[in-house]
Amino acid sequence: MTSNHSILFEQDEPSSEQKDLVEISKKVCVEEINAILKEKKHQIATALKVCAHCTLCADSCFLYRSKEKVAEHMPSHKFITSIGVIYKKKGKVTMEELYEMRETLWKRCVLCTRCSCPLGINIPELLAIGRRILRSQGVYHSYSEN
Amino acid sequence: MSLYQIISGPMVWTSFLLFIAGTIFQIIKLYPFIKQSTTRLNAISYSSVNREKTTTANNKKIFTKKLFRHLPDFNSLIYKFAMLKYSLFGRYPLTIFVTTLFHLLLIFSPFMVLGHNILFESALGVSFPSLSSEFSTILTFIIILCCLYFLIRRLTVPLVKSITTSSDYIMLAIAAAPFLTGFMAHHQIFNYTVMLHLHILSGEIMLISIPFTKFIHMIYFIITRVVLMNNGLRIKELKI
Repeated sequence: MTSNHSILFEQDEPSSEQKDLVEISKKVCVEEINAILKEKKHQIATALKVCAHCTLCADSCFLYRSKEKVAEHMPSHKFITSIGVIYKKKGKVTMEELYEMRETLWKRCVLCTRCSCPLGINIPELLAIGRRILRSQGVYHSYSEN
Repeated sequence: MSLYQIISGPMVWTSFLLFIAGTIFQIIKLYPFIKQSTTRLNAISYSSVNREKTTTANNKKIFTKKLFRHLPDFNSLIYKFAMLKYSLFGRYPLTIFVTTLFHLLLIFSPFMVLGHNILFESALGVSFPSLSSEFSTILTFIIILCCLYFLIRRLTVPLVKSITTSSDYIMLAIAAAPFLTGFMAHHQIFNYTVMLHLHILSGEIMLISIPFTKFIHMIYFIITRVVLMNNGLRIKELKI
């Protein structure tokens, strides 16, 4: 840690990638994540149980329709790969995984709440819970500071 | 006691009992969640919805009338028909058609097979109207075709492939097995007794797995659509 910091301070402006490298070396607080998971247990468990992996929610996402139609922009893919993974691992995720989820939760979703699931899963709520968990660990989308 | 007597006697009742008990257990388990979300909804609706209704309802009406005066009548049948292409059916016509057909037949066709109704009559003294042998064969064949469609969709469409897990294939197999074995037993394609035993066993496995696996969407579907989705929609309305 100390060596990383000294490298950072020697340079004029640390790039965002270097910042991320320092952040990744931090440890995840499993208790904090589990406290949020416990509070929202019913929402997450029900959604993961009910989701039949039908992929009919894909076309309701404007990002999926406007960008190249890749699976990463599908609402169900977003919540299964973010909050679904955290829930299945019971909060025991690494910082690297959280940084990967940050891409999904901030860059691939704007929480416009327009996605609709034929089975009635409230996908935006799940993604919001995911954002909350990531924010509790200090992982969030930072806008350009320049 | 022969194998047939065991799987068609006590095991059937056990599976029915497990199905009913499991269903009740799962609904009770979800009850605090339903209560929590409805109380939250009430809290929101009393504070802001009513106020909004009384103060801005008229303004909103005039505003929308002026804003959309060049648009067609939204409640007209022609408009609704034109909007069909933006619905789920308009987007995925084949999948929606196959899914609807599959789910309707999966639930209702087992009650309309003559063989099942004879068993119902002898066990409970109640029976449902039966279909002819040929017609139920066609229905079973349609279900198997639907299952094949789902399997091919899972294997080929990249979007579906991206979130498919091994459990999805197991679920599909459990759902298809009673119909496939029933079809084979009825037409005596393979050994009749083996197929009949497999048919009863797979039916029992499916019944038990409904409340404890991903099949739970059969029960939770109603709750999530009626209670929780409406809740979400009302919160959406507030943001407008």
